[in-house]
Amino acid sequence: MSALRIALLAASVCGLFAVMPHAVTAWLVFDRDAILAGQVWRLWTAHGVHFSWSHATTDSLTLFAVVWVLARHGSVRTVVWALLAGAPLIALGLLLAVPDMRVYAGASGLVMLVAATAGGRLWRDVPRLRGLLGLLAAAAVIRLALDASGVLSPFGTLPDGIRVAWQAHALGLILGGLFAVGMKRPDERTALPMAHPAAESRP
Amino acid sequence: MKMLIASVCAGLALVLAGCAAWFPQQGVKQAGSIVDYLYPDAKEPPQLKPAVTYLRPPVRVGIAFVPGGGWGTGLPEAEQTKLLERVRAAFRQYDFIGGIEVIPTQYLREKGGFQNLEQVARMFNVEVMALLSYDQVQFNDSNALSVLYWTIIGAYIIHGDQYDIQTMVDASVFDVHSRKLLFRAPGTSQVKGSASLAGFSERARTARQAGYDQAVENLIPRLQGELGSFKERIRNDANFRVENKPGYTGGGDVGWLGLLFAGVLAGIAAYWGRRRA
Repeated sequence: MSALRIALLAASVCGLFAVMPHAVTAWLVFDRDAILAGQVWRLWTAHGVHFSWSHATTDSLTLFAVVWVLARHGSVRTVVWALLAGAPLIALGLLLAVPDMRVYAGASGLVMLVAATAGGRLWRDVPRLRGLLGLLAAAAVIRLALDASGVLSPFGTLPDGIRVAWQAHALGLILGGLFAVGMKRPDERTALPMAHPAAESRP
Repeated sequence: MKMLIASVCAGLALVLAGCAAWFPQQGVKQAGSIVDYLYPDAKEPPQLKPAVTYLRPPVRVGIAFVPGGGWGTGLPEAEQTKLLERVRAAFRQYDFIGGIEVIPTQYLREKGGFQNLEQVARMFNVEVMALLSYDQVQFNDSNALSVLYWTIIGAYIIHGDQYDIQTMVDASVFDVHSRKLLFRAPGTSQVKGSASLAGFSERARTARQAGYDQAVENLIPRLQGELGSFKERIRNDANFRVENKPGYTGGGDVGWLGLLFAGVLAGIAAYWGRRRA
């Protein structure tokens, strides 16, 4: 699967959830009580649900962009792992770290995770881009601090009464950083073919 | 005989003069004052320390009329309810407002101050109180036509008395915990008219009601405007902080700024990918 296809697929999931009726998305959103009652699918599906069209639009387009970058400079496999493993980890982190938050929805935690992984990957592979990547990382941290301090961003898309879950962004950035550190370089993969699980299964 | 005629004339003059004197020339004032309620017997201006006001949306709001009004024995209950419902509807449009409780005036003690306000807020579990007050002054004057009242029939058909009724209805919204005035919206009206001596009382009463209705019509759009600008103000004003309430709803939102950053990252990646190729 090409980088463009996986990026379109990820964004389409958000788009698909956005057109679903509320009665359906109510079963998909992060609901603390429901998750604790055993509805574990919400750990994944919550990231695809959004509160408004503008919320879904910005998150889907941003997810499309960062997934494309990671798939192009990493691999489709890395993207799939990052999304499938990152989604429940962020949700579990929210469950543990933010007990006051009962309901959560939105893809921005995953966006931060994928962006941090892609940024970390570029940082490691392309030293010449470190200045620009450093500026982007600083901007992301400032934005995180503003959200955490309660200063509402004028560029936000959440409806009134719903607070920015900056903790999801922080968890996404931390997990993305860890994923980037754990990722192997392409030359490492070719130098040690036996270390690759796919290679081990080959005859 | 001369004595009799003089006595009749004197008596008639006294009766006619009495007719003119029946009518009370002084004005009428009816008011339910928010200052009297919140700052009773205040000798000095209240010293409010500059402090950050914490709001935890969705905010629960209580709406009540300040006690101590005097429309006879107070504003008619039906009018109070009508205004309270309209104010409730104005608040309901905003998502950052949670529950809205209409609080009967009986729960507010006359000259109760902030202590009474806090008791009521605790009782109804509200964080913000919208207090409605009104002030209506009626000025009465006679015009030149009032001389025709001496004809007796003139007192029934000649509009020799004038009234000027000025009304202000005010909605002041307070944060109960910090006792801070968050915003206020006034509605004003002025109704002028004239009536004959015999019909003055009824006409003036109708005009007072009309003045009140007009002031309410003037208040509601202003209140909606103030609510809208307050919503913007809490975003930018350092004196307000928005905090999370237990059980709140959070959203993962990168916003338009996040989309811009992602676009820049994608641009960098695309540029580098092309160079490498």
